[in-house]
Amino acid sequence: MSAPMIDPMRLERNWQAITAEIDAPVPSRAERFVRRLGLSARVTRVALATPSLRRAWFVALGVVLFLGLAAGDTAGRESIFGFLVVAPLIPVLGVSFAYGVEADPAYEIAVATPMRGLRLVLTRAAVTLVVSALVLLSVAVFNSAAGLFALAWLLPSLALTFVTLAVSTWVAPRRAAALTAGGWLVVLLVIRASVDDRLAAFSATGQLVAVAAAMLAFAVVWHRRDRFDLLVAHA
Amino acid sequence: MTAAQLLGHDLVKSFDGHAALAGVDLALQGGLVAVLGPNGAGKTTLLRCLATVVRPDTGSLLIDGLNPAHESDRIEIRRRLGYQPQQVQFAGGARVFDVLDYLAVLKGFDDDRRRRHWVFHVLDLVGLRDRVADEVRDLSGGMRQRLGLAQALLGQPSLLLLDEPAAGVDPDERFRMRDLIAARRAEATVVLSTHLTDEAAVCDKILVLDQGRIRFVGSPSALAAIAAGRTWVQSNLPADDVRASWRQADGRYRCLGTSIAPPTAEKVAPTLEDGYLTLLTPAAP
Repeated sequence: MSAPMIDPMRLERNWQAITAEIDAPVPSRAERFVRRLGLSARVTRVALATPSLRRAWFVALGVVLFLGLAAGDTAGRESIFGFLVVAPLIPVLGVSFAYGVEADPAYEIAVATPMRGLRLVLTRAAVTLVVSALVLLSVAVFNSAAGLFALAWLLPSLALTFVTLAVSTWVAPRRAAALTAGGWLVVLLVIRASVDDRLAAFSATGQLVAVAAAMLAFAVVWHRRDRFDLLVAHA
Repeated sequence: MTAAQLLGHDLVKSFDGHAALAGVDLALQGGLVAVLGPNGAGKTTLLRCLATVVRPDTGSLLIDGLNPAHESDRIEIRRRLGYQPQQVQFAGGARVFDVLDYLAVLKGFDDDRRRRHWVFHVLDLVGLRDRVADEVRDLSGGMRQRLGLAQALLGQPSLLLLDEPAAGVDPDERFRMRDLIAARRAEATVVLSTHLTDEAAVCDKILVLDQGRIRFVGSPSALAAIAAGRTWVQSNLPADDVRASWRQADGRYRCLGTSIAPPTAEKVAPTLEDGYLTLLTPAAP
């Protein structure tokens, strides 16, 4: 009786697949944490590809936690105002580290891949935004003093993220983030100087303005999305 | 898989008023093609245009009939592309596996197992499998270049663009990389930029670029033939009217003349370097 024939090619493929599974290093702690939140290995890899991206993400998470706890500590509107001023800037920080040579030394190689640049940037910004939002929302649930205002940063945050992306089609991402943050503070100071209510910028009208700004900025980003697919001098 | 076809017509690209490409025409399909030229000739800009990461100011470029100026075409071209830029850099703290896995995700390997298979396959090709868990900062310069080549080979591209792939690599590594690159010529159009004539000598076709213009397209032997009859060696210091001369290891001078060699000169067979220098070195006034 002869032994059953085994396709050697198939055997080799199977063996390669097994050794690849065994030899692949364990993902970083940050990646494992984000995967536990339900994100796929692919998205996690894109979002936290380099140490600089991971550092930015950790900083963002740390600031969000600190602000969330600080806002929950006192019931004062001043404390909530401080929180609402800074919290929307966290995803902006994420965007500033989302792409470009400073964020990813392999940037030129990444640009030449079929992954659309805008999709790459949005994925990274979205992961920062979603994780920050989850942390802050969980803080808000246990913080009756801050109430709904603990959520009032979300739409301004979305607007500032898209404004940063729009500006970064002209200047380097970190400069775009700095300009957006500066502009945001100026807007808040002007509103605060002209209206009695310190939280006016986060009122229903303020939220509508944020939505409009986000839509307008996204239109600019969409129109100029080619800039994320090309190697531009400022990036 | 068919090797990619590249058709460029009158490609112009300027930076701050300086023309890096000043009207380049090219038609390539298959084989190993060297873009040879001095520093600042426009080699990197040309490769970046072909890699679709830089858009020419004017002129037309088609890769497999696809126009990189159109978004959907550009994405399709990039699916077929392997690109190693001149300054290959990866985050020092990232591990070899993570670098390749990340770039494989960007190249569209969505399935985790398939992606892992490809990562290990290219690591095997470049001989870095045993460094898979090492951080990039722990690799030598040559190993980093090999890692750069590995990522370019992900997915078996039909167009492989390599910008000075052996820069800063010791001779042993260079030979290994050269063999690896040459092995792709059967299935892909491989374009590599270099300023080393010995690298260009093993290519099927050479394209000499100077000041943003193509000065020569042809085989290595055709480039060497430009200096045929104008190359000689002599013992005494050459006169000023030679195009170029240098002292060899045996103490004699190798001369490239502006016209044919003097009747008394000891003529020698020209090398690729002789032809290249004859082409690019202006004749003495």
